Amino acid sequence: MCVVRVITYLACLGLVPLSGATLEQLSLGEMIEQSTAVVRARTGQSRGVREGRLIYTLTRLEVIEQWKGEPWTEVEVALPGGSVGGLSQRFGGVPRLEPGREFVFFLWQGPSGRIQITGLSQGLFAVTQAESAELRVTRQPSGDLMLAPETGVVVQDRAIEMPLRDLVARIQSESAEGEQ
Amino acid sequence: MRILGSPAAKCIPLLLALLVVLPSSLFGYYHFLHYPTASPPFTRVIEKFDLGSLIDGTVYFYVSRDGPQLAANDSYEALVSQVRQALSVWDSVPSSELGVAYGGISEGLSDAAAPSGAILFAELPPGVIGLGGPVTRAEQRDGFMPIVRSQVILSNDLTSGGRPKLSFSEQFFNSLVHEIGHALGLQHSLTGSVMSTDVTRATTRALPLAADDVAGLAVAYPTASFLRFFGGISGRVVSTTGRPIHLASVVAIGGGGNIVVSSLTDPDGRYQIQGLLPGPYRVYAHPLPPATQAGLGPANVVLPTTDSGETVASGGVFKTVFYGGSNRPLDSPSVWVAGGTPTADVDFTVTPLADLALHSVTTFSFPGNGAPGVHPAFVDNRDPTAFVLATGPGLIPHLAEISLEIIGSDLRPARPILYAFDARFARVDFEISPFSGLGPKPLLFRLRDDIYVLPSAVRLTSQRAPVVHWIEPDFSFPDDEVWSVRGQNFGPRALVYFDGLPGTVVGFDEFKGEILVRPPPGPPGRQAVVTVYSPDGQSSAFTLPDGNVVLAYPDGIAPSLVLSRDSAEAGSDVVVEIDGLGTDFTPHQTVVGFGTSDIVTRDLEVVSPERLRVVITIRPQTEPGPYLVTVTSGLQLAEAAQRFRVDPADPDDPRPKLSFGGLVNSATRTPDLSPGVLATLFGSRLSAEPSAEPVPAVLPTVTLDGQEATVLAVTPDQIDLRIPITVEPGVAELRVRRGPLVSEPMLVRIASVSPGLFRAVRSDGSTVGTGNPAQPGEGLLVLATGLGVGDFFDSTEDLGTVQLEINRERVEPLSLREVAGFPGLYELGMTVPDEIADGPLSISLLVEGRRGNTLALPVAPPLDDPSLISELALQ
Repeated sequence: MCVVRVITYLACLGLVPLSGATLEQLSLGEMIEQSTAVVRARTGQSRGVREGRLIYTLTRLEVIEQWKGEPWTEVEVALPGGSVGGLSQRFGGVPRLEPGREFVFFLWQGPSGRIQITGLSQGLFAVTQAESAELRVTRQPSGDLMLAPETGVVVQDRAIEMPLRDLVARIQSESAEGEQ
Repeated sequence: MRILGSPAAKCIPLLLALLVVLPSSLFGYYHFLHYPTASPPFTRVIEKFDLGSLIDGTVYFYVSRDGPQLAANDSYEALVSQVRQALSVWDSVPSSELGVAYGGISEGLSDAAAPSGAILFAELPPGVIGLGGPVTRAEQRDGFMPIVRSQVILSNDLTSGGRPKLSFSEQFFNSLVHEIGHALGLQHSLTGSVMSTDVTRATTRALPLAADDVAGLAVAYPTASFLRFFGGISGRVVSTTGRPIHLASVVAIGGGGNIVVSSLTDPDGRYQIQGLLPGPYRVYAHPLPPATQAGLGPANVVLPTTDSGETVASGGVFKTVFYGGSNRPLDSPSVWVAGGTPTADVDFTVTPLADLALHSVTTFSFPGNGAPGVHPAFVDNRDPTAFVLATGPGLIPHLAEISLEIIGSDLRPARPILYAFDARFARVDFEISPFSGLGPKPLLFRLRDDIYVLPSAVRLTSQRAPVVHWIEPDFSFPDDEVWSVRGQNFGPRALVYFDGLPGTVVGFDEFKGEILVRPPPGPPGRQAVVTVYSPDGQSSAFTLPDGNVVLAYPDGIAPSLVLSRDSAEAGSDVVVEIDGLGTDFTPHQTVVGFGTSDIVTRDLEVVSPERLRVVITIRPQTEPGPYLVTVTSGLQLAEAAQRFRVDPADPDDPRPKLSFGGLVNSATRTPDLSPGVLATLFGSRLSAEPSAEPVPAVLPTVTLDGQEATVLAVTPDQIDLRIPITVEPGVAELRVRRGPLVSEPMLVRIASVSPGLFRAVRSDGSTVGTGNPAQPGEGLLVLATGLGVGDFFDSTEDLGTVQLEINRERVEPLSLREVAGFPGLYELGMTVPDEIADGPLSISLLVEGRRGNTLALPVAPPLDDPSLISELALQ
């Protein structure tokens, strides 16, 4: 069946240059599973640092809620690119974190200890308040092909907008499954 | 006197002059941009390399020695081969002055003083495979922001995520080319080029660049011929209320869909597309797809910034429209483009929208052999059952309302229907005619009163993708290692790759489905994936994506290197000999790197599979210290156990000092040399002290391969000489001896002939020039050198391969003889044509088909020209 072939191919493929970055599309389930922490946080000030030959922008996050990982009250997240010592580097698709905004962050801490956002813009959900006072999370579609988390089959990426509590329930459920 | 080392380098002053006189608004395409302020005028300042700071106009990329974790059937050497090939893709752009080259392996201990590129492996979070981008210093130079270094950052674990990223895959290669494009200063476009996101990208490894990519690089680093022969389109995009639209994409489609070039608008709505071949184009303006996050640009374009650091927001989305105001391409007037000048006032008035109903469509096709679907979509124009699948935001929900058209082809798409096997895809069938043509075709999706155009949506071919069945040794080439690749759908222009490097095709048999190929050198035990590429863009990677046909290189010892010298001073050019053990150095496939762009290999001679001689330039700013030396030959990668040490320069070193490219043909002032040619050697400390006499009392001696050259004149910085007539063509070792002091050797390349013209003289012995123009019909003598080893003492007959080209017409010289008392200098007789078109008389010399420099001589106008007589009378 042709569709099986497409699916198999895309499953093997997994490389999607989304932006200045080449990304591997992650489903929500994969992001929950592969992130070492998931937090709701407010962005603070940013600063550029140089680590070896790379430039990163470190942004301080004030953690409001946390559903996965070792508990934090504050954390500094690293994004590739930025400005330091008169040098500057910009990558397409790397989110800019303006101070005072609220997001749900899917975070990943690697062996180096550096904390980064899982899948760059994929792991960043804006938190907004609906008219009903309910908190909602949104992420625009990437415009790229994605794989369904349950089956690995191709799905069209869509804008994600849901009540925060639904996302939290999903995170808690998937995290609990992961621990089992 | 400044001597530059290569033809590319010689063009730099001209190029810089051109850039100075070009208004910055001429820049088309879309680069990383800055504007002085967020208000008009919007003068573009792009990020790009300063060609003047690069040796030979080339940016070298170095691969980090700390490689990534790779899948079991992959290797670091294979990955490096892909990097080399991806870099060569960008180097191949003929209309760009920027050279892009692989420089070797780097330990990455310090930043070089010279601009460079790096392929680094770093800890990236899940879901991120790589990034690419330039690093700039916040200072403008001559209207641009110089890139100080560029980086492509790949994950240090290419096995993570459950789906290994194989370096030999189409996707890995295309992503590498894409990221390197970012590193060179290019941003996204929406034209199906390699700089498009994968959603709309229609390039493949076999056709890795599209016209838009070529234009993007050439606009930043234009050659003189690009500016002269290519044309452009300019205009403005405003909304129906007169509001300028920032970051609208304006696209020109020509050549039956084969040429697609675009540009994005400035905040005042102005745009300029460049890099168009002369001819008619359909032009349309369309919005970019929405940004994925607040603060990001649409289509993940990095938004331009102002000098104060503000970002300039995009102008929102609107209905796509063709030039003239219609959304029907056939109703749109063609825009004619001429070479050298932009076609202006191609303006658009667009209707704003709240959001886009349809965008970012991806097409797939099935390549055969039971293989999975591929993107971009290919359609075999002999197959009446051919179809493609499409998916994208808004496509399926609006499928019943969507109709399709192909622009610039008789290929007729049917109305899309839901794909029976998966409701997330639309199926598009085609009615193919003999006039459907070949190559990429744009697909227009019409949805209510709006359209979406997908350039290069379908690539028409005349055969299916190659399939490789097996590879076996071919013993009919007893002295050669030739392999027979067997399969189907091979064409006579197919290429065979082993991992990332092409083999040398030595035979083809369509009937047998066989290509005979000599593989590149490979490391012991490496199993290199064999892939056949068709010139139509398809490859056997489509039909065998897992790379399961491999060539196993025989086991052997790991290659190692020994250097003839392990140090040199900063600011010097030196020759290094490298002996290899277990190596297979191969001409044109061997790169010697010193791990930094401050030490550059200028020339390389493969003496044998185990021996190399290279000339290196060590920049004066090079940080003293040890540097890693690597040799890459084919898929083989070897590093020297010893580090090469750079010492601080010794200003008191009394020895004569030579530099690469310092010996030039005295007539052409280029490094084109031959036995017996008159040459000029530039250097320092060539004679003991300045002398009033042309030849000082103690003459330096100049030798080439130990043979003494005739020294004609000497200053501390310059020696005029004649190359020994007995020097063999090839690579020769040049030395200068001054008393007991001997220079470092330098390598020079000697050809059999190197024609050059000095000047033309009239019969009265005066030199033709301004104030003494040539007269139509008069006889002249041109003085020349570089005719090689021949009998040219006094010949009026049988001039052999010596020809003059006078105003593009080849003629035999009337006479040819060596000037008495000046060995190596010849005079050739010629007649100035009676009728000369406007402009100077151009004369060049060809020997054995090799052309030298061109003399441009002023010519006096004929006095019987009535217009001139009246002009003179008026004076």
